[in-house]
Amino acid sequence: MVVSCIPPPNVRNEIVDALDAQAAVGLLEEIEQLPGGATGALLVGPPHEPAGSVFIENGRVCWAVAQGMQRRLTDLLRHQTEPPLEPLVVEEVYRACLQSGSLLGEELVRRGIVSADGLRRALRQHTSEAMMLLSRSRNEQVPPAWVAHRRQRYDARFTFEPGELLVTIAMQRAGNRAVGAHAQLDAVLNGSGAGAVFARTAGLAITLPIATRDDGTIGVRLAVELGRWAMSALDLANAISPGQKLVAASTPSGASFMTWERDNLVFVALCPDRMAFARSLAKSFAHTIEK
Amino acid sequence: MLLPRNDDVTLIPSLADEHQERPNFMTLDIALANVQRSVPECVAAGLVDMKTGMLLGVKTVDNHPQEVLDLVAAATGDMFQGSNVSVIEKTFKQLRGVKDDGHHYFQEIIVLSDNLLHVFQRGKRNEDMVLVTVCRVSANLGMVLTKTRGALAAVESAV
Repeated sequence: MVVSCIPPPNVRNEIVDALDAQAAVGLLEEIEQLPGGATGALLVGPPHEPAGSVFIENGRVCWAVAQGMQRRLTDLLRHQTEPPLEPLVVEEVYRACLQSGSLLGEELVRRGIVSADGLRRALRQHTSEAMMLLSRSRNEQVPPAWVAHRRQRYDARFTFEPGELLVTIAMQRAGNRAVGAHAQLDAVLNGSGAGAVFARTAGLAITLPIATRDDGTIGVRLAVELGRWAMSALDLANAISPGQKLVAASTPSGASFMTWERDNLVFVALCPDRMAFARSLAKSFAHTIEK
Repeated sequence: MLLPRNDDVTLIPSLADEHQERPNFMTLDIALANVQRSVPECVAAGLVDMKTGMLLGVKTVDNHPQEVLDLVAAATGDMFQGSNVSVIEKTFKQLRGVKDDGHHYFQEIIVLSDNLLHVFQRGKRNEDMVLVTVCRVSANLGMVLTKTRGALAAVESAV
């Protein structure tokens, strides 16, 4: 019964349309800048009537919820199996959770009804959708209120880095273009360095990464800046000489940035040293020209 | 018509000034010609001053329209000093714990396109100077980088 690779049920268009990319990035950056052990909740929106909350344990996002998402998690959890779980099955577990005080998702995993991967995927999807809705309510004038607490009840396996949520949000906009982006990036990086893939998306003020390979270097801020740099470097290169493009910039230490475009996707690789740079340069150049 | 003898050149201020300046121009010209000769499949070599956005010298195999050369000079400034570059240099330094001493992080930029390979190298002595070398894309990239890195000091000292 446990199936771990089922795509989530379609995201409602109004959630995708609600995305204010700049505000979502701002919210994720705020979380990223919290102290490492920060545990508590960020209340987004007017203090008298918050639009939703983001729950954080040890600096990682456990869960977020926005108004209008009441049954969304149940829906996502049900679709982690093939065929989808009967609503009654989830309801029975939910009732048991109310008595024991345990968490629904984790109880479904404990009972073997949903896989750990499935729960992680459902939670990440739900949290990302909540962030998209909350981005509309984020107001520069009224920053989210931080309410610290000490109690920790979420399993760390089912918590997320802000960068991971940023990618999930961007994937909702990119749709099918995100499929395979990770594999193409991995083929170039070949196990060393970090990188990101961006989709040129009309209607967004900033470019968000649809895939990242992180060695601990790429956070939300660097990912967004990498996207900006890559787009401008490629546009500039196109002004100098038209055609398929690759731009590589290296530093005195040998650490390098590289960007290239293929099939409307913009790839960026960060190479830690000259050896990795040389290897990735050869591979990425081949990647730009092979069709 | 009575022309001044060579010895008299120093007596005429305008010609004397030109005489003073000419060796530098000649040297840069020669240095760029050497780059063009030594770098595999090189079609152009030039030196850009990012402070002024001007091309201080250029050697090309064919005659290139001035607009193209001006465009490359302007793009060089944006490649190294555009606002996105400054932000990413700063962000990356912060993340890596590198002290921000105003020193520029990007020293060398390579642009590969369908037909051409551009190498932009910031000067070691003067960070506002950039040696731009353009080769056919069929050139061996490793050799192009090795040769241009080797030639940078000579071009810089010619200014």
